[in-house]
Parts: sequence; C-alpha cells; structure tokens
Amino acid sequence: MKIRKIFFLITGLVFALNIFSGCAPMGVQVWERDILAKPSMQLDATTNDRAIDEHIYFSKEASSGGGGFGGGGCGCN
Amino acid sequence: MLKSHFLALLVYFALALPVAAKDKPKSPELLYAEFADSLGLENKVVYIDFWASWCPPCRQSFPFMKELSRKYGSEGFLIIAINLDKDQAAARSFLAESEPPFPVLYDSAGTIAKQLSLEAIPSSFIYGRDGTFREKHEGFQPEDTLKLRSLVESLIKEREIK
Repeated sequence: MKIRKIFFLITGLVFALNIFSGCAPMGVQVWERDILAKPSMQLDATTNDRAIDEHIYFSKEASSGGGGFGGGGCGCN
Repeated sequence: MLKSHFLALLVYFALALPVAAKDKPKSPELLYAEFADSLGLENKVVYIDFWASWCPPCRQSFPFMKELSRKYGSEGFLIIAINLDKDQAAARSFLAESEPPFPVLYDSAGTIAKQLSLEAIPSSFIYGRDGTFREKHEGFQPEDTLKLRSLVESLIKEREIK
C-alpha cells in the first residue's frame, strides 16, 4: 500500500513538472520579435493621441491622476 | 494495477525522449565547424553575426561591419552575417541598400539561433585564425566598436607574431 502511494506521488510529481515546464518555452524568442518590434506595436506608439485623449478625459471627468501627469482635478484646463 | 501504471510511465518517457532530443544545443565551436569547409575559414579571423532587418541596432552595426570587412578583408578577416528575418524579402531589400561586402546566410526558421540559445540580436561570435572561439558580443552600440575593432586587430596580428 505504501509503495503504491509513493508510486502515485512520483507519477503525480512527474506529470506536474511536465505541465509546468510546458510553460517555459512559451516566451517569444529574440529572433521572433519582428512584428513586436514594429513602432505600431509599441504600447505608447501614438504619444500625441494618448496625450489628447488623456486631456479630454481629465477635462470631462474633472479628475486626473494615474495618467502620468499632475493636476488638481478642477477641470479648468 | 501498479504494473500498468509503471508501463504507462515508461511509454510516456519513451515518447518524451525524441522531443527532448530534437533541439540539441550547439556550441560556438560547432557553429564554426559547420561553415569551416564550405566558406573556407581556415587561417582566417572570423566574425559571425546574427542579425535581422527589423532590429535597429543590427542595422546600425552594418556600416561598422562593412568598414571592418573592407579594411581587414585582405588580411584574412571574414564576416559571415546570418539573417534571422522570417520574411527574407525584407532582409534582401535592406541588403540591396546596404550592399555588404561579406556573405549573408539565412536562418529564417531560427534553427541555428535556437540551437545557440541566442538571448539578444545582434549577437556576434568571433574566432581566431586557429578556429578557436574568442568572444561573444551581444547588442550593438557605437561605443562597442572600439572594443570590437581592437579585438579584431589583435586577432589578425596573431599570425604575424607566430
């Protein structure tokens, strides 16, 4: 009975290790970054657009913060 | 019951083995050996560079490599550029502009890059005249040129000392 328990424990461990190691090669390799390297794929690709959007949001909602600029939230500018 | 589980475990390992053996790691020495005969690397200082056309530092390194090749080509210095673009047309279009005086090979599937476990591009492997691996250089910045140039110069002079 004890041997069986140990056997199942080892089997479970092997499969668990296999499943977790399956996530290891999922990252994009350096030579596969061609599309990610494009300017349009950058998180901040359109800086001006983002600044305008943030300004509109800040003016309409009378609040700011979390957007990368300071301000009192008066909505006056 | 236990026997069948043990058998299942054996089958599992037997199936996993070929998958694990598929991508054998390649050392810089094996990389050199792969091109030694076909490109006539004997008694040459060799600079193998992995690059891609979409990688700005790689593009920046081309004028430097061209200059090295033109300056030291006659003294037994050879650059081999290995392109890693999936889209070879993009690489060819860059090469048409750049017109490098050294051979460019293609590894579009990234097979060699994977075997060498490249962690950055450009990555350069530099070898002495005797074929020994001397230096691996990752990335490219203008200030790197001093170090690389002096290394190449010292390797070229090695034969003169002997």
